[in-house]
Amino acid sequence: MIPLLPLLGTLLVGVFLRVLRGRAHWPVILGVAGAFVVSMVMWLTGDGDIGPREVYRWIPTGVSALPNDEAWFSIGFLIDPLTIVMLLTVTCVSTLVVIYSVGYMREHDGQPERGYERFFAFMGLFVFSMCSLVLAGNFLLLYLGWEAVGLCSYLLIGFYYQRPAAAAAAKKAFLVNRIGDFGFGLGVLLIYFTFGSLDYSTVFEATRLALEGNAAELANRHIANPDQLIYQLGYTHRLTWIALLLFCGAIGKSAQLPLYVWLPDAMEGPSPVSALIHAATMVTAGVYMVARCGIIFAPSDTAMTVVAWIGGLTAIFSATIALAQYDLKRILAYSTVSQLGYMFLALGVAAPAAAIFHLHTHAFFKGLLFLAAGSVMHAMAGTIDIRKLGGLSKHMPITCMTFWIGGLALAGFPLLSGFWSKDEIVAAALHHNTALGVIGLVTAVMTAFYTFRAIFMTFHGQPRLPEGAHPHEQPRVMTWPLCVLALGAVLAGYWNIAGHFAHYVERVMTVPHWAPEEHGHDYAVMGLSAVLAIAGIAAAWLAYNKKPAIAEGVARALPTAYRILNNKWYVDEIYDACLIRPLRGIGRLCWRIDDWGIDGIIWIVTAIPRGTAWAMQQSVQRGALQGYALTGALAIAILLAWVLAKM
Amino acid sequence: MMADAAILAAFKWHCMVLGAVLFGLGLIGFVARRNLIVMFLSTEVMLQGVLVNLLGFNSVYPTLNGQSFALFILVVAAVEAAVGLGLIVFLYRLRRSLDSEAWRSMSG
Repeated sequence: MIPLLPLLGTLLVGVFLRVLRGRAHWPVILGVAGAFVVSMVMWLTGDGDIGPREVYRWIPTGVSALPNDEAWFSIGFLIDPLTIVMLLTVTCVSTLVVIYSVGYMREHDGQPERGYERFFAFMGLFVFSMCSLVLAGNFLLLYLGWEAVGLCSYLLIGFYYQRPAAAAAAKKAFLVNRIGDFGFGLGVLLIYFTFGSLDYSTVFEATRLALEGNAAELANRHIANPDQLIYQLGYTHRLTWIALLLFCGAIGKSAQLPLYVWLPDAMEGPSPVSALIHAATMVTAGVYMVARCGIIFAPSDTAMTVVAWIGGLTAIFSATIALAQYDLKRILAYSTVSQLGYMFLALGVAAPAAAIFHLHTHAFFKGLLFLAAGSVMHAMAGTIDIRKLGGLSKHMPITCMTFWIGGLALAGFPLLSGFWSKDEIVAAALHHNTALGVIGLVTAVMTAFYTFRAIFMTFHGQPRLPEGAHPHEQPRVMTWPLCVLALGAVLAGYWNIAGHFAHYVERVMTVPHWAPEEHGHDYAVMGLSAVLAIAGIAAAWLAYNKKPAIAEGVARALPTAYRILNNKWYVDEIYDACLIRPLRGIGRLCWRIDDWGIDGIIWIVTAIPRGTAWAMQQSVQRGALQGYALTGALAIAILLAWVLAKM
Repeated sequence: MMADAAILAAFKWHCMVLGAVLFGLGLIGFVARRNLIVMFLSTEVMLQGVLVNLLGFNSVYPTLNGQSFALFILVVAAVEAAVGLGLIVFLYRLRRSLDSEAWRSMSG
């Protein structure tokens, strides 16, 4: 039901493209909002544990470890609190983003932009893909949704396909994602080989039982080779491999080190798309997947360590890059990468509830920040370089205010949503491993600093606007979703007061190897991170608002560091030199071999009939009708003569 | 009765000869002439030769299948003649000539 509503919207737009034109947003808005309403209903009624449902039997697997009727890949859904939380987040933010797009995707005279219908059709498809990814009840459907969001991101990032930069960014996003997805696909295959099934319930249950060494119960559940499974899971590295391969996919989709490079470039798409990708759909898929497969990850120390460290390193690494960027949306993009790093950090230190909680709050404030940045961009006719902005608070009060709220939430300012969720992660990390905790704290300072650097340079200080710019507040259809999201950014954090949220989702994520979390608030960590956040904000205020000389002084004092950060650690350049160029070389070599070697052989082979045909044309087929007729008549005569001679 | 049978057998032979002559004339006309309309007429003559053949053989059998078949072919030939003439008129308009050599470049 939920994924079908946005799909229906998309189909309607697709079919009635010409009829709808400027009204193309209606089916999609209604579809996505309908999905939101249904998720709300599911959340409010019942305890959320609806369990697996099989909708349709799709592909017979043939190999049957289970009784015959279960040997299917089915289209099945699994609905539990984790799903519902994800659905609420996804559909809520998507609804607001889609409404906002109605204003954003128009020229200044209010006419719909070129490709307006196409945009909304893709948006609907995107939400549909994400919903089916979240709802999937087995790994095959998960993989399908996984690829579908990748496709939609490609379509939407490359929305302005006339611009080479956008086309390149779309291609980059798709290719980088493919690298991760390849690992993910292998992981899914390995799961199938190990368990003979791809259903969540079967796989997770079998893992649990096998780790307990409960062969009898496994046999009861029609697992083919219980002893073998127990051996593989308990005494070999099978689970670690599965976890790491799945995590490969998460690295690609959720933009972690080393595959994060596509996300900042994804800014080439329209701003609502960035908001959608960064906040609600796509990048959260990896976090969700790891949380969902907790039982596979948790028993493997290696996998957990990898997840935690990749998350932590990504968090701090991208935060350093964000310090020295000048593109407003790019700063936000790197902050997304950094926040996703936090989520993986939380997963890696066995605090999945904190990770999902941060995902939830992050969706609100990051969606808000991107939409507000889009509002600035729209008002400035595309200018997004914060060196050319400044003093916008006078012209765009609502955008400025909502951006402030989003920024405060992102920075972890006390009592806003980001504060609650980030805090839990840092606390969990400190519990687990001091180094990871310190990384979390340092990143928190940097987050506060770069966020407010952007805010002060954009909305305050001396206007440095380019000639002829007339910034103005945006129409209500755009400011209104901003306000709602701002409300969400303030309030979303209170869901977890006294651990309500954690209790809600944890019922499905508790696994034997994950130590139960403590749900009390760690006041020392809270105080510390609040102080750090305020310190970061204050430093930004000092350096970029009060005395801009300080910032320039620092940049001049550390030219190398500044240059490295501004150039994003030269990662793109390194990839270009180490991977892209050699690969392109191989590609060119293959092309040459194909063009000269193989095509050459084909040319020689085809030369024979071509030569024959040429000779025929010169001799017999000269185009004279009578000649043909005569040939035909002669042939008949010869045939006749032959027949008569036989008689 | 005997006389009838003899007449019928002779009729069959006459028809065959007439058909062969008509067909041969048509064929010669088609090959020898270069005027598109005359070539078209020649094909019609060939067709009529075949039809005469059909009628002759029909006399051997007690049914009327051959004759009715010939009638059908006649109708189709009329239709085809209309189409063919239309085509020729069109070709003439393109080249202002009825010479089949004019279409040599088609290399058909």
